[in-house]
Amino acid sequence: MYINNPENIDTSASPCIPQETVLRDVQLAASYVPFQFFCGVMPPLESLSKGTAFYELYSPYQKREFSNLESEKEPCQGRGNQCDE
Amino acid sequence: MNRNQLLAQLTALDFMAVDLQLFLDSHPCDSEAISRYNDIVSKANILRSEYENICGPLTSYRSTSNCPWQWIDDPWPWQGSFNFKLTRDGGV
Repeated sequence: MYINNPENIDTSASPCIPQETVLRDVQLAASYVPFQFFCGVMPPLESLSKGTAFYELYSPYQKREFSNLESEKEPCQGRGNQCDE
Repeated sequence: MNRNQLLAQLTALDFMAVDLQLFLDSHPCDSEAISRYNDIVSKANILRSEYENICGPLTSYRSTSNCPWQWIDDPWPWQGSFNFKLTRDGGV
């Protein structure tokens, strides 16, 4: 209903970084994976070291302090008026 | 290249071949990626031969051997002393 409509896909992001593709008004309980484009690969030893040959897929886990995560929480985000108590 | 550098380059090329294979499974008509994949597999095969000529067989059933049978010479690939150490920036 939504994903098949090209108007719902923001293609302004870099074609090499499809993760930044923004999907709007998508259905719940469905997963969407932007289609990757071939934009070259890293040198062999760098690929082995980073665990991927693709620059756009390199996304190491950034550890953050638990207390910071707690303070960034926005309670009831996205629930609109149902949040009011 | 010394033995560890040769093995690291070969391992890295084999890793890239697998990663490009995964890409090509979902992009079977991407000629640029296929060309890169073919190039990597060719280079890996050349390096594999070079490694085995100098350092001995990498497998017990796909590698040729001098006499006496070389496979029983350790270390074997699954032993710690066989492997190289890779630094974070891809150095060996």
